[in-house]
Amino acid sequence: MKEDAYPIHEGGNIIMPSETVGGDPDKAIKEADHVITREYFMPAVNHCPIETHASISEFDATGKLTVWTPTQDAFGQRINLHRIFGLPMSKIRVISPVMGGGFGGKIDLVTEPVTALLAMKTGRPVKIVYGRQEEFASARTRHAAKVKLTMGFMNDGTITGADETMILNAGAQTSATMSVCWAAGGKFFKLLKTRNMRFKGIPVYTNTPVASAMRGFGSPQQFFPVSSMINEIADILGMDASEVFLKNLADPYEKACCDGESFGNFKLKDCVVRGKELIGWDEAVKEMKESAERNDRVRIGVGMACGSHGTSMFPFMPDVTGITMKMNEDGTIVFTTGTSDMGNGSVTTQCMMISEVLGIPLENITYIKTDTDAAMSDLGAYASRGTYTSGHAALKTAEIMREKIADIAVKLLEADRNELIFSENKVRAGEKSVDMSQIAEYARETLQEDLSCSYMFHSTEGPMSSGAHFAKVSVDTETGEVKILDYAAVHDVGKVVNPMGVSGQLEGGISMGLGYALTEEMKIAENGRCTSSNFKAYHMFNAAEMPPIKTDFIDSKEETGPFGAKSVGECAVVPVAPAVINAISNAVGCQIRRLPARPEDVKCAFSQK
Amino acid sequence: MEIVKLNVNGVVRETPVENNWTLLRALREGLGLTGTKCGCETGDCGACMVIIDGEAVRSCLVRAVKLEGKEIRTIEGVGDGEHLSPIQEAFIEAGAVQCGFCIPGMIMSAKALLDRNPNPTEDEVRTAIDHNLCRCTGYENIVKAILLAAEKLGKERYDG
Ligand code: FES
Ligand code: FES
Repeated sequence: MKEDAYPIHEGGNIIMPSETVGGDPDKAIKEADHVITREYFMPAVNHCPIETHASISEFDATGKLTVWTPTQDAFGQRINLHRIFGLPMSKIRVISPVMGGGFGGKIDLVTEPVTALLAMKTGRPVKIVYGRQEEFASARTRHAAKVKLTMGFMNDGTITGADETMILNAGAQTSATMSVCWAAGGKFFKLLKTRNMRFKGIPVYTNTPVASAMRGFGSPQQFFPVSSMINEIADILGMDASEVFLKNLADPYEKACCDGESFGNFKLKDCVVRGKELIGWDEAVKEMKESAERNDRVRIGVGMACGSHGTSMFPFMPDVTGITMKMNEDGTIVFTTGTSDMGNGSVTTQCMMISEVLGIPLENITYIKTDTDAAMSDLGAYASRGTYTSGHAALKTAEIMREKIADIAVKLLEADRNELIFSENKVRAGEKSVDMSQIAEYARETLQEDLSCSYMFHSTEGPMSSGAHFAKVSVDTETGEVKILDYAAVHDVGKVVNPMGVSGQLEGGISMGLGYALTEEMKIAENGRCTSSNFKAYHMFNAAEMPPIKTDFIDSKEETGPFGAKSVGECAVVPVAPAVINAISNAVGCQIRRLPARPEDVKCAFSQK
Repeated sequence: MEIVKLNVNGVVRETPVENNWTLLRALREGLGLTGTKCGCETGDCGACMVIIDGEAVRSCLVRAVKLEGKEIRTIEGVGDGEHLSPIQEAFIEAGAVQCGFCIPGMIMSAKALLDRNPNPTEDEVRTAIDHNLCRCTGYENIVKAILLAAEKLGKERYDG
């Protein structure tokens, strides 16, 4: 960024700064009772899917390129391969069979252009599988960020103005950096009630590994600073941190002060109230105070944090998922979906929604997935859009199929359309019922057709999903060693449509966030090379290190979502690091503003209090 | 290349290997048993876990040529080919599987544990899988699955 810095690309190292303003932040900050300015640092971290990047390409005698790759974005990859190789799209087929974890790291083309080119040159199928060291060095990372945040607040804890500058390290190439920068900025305006805010994003090139999408897409870098500062405000004012959060968090249907966009049915405050119960907030605060008063070597700390995240790419891109569906001769269903499933269950959710609408059991529903030749397009498995958009597409397509089934059922049952009930693989009307196989038989024998339909859904709203996390820790002030004694997380995901899936997503997000808070960091040498080369040095949390976790979901419903659902995947990780760091900071009496907080950092913070 | 005789899942099979090949490589590339996964090859992730003579072992850390005469069990030999084992069923029932990439290794660690300790505590379960990394689940449902598997296996023994 300095004047004389070596230019990584022509045109300088700042990619494209962005600025968003709502209200009059300068005036609000000037007129506030208190003003603080702080700087925060978050390192680059790696997605660490246990399956590394891999792809196989084949270029056949007809000139068709087929790429098998565990990707979150088969259609996006096809567009980019089309641009790179100049082949018509009819000559490129991308198939994402199954994926061993993605977390945002499997959106970009990484190994695919290389296997594709080698396959075209050699006429043989070519496979590349990254080793773990290659995964660290040349897959993707979450953006390292430096944030300068100023808040103006009143004696009662009301935050009246906020001004933030975020520098994001893109690494050597742009990738999704501009989108991450805009997303981080957008989310700045979608947590608090504060009406006077400014966000400045400065994405920069450096000589480090390429950063791109990673679970949270700008939210972790946004809400670590914001939640940390709210904790510090509470400390300055001698108030309970949860009270300061509750005072400032937005209410349902709040509109962003920068562009008037609605938060949707945003029930984050309810999450805070429920989370306090789960962690036993008041008792924990008491314990914390007592351990400080006693000057214990091992101090108790309790902290909380909040975060929000979107549910789709609306309104930034056409947020689409297409589904085609047919009924087989025996009344079972097969559908074709462009949706990628990285293990988060998006396609399972589609199956569940179809099953619910048609009354056809899950074992009678199968699918062909993520094959660019077979399926209508899907924007990709990112932006936490799996349930909200891809689920919605499945729901809508199933509703069309249900009408077709109903057309036949009314004839066979001699019943009124409104009486029909779809359940247990049957359509019922009062005492009478027909089996789905009879429906299929009638379609085939009498109408001489397969029941089939297709539908492309696009979302028209982008409600916010949110969560509040709480951590209780013990800190050995002499060694800096931190133990997380208890952890609670409560989210507003709209209606819970798949309870096991949603808590699994949340627990997984928590383990990833704990690493972000305490252990994970891509080590970068002077020359820009990544020196983290294995899991041992990088240190993700293992099963024995995980704290006891309590999770809950508040009773909520998002009118615009399928069965009232919103999203969870990315939001799950967002409040974790600030919740833990706030707990540690409160224990040692000094706010830590740099991730990860290793024992030496914690010890140092204690000595500086 | 040299030929090594490996006793895998109760069948002795010959496969050509290089002297420095790990068991992981011999299983996947020699014997075509791709259920055992590779997440690091440095012994840190546990995706490659197999059972050798009753012990959970990371197959990327042992050389194939050293294993003649040992009994090796892989994920392919956990069910009977037709039915899933109670451990596998428990993983499904408890919602322990997200992307699934760590799961074969988890199941092998779980099996090694439950074979020697049919009634583990939660702490013992967590220790038994502390060499198995999972990036998706936060381990909660995996731990629940292993405890559920212990229950299922116990019931099976009781029912005879
Ligand atoms: S592949 Fe053997 S421990 Fe990771
Ligand atoms: S389920 Fe994905 S790594 Fe464990």
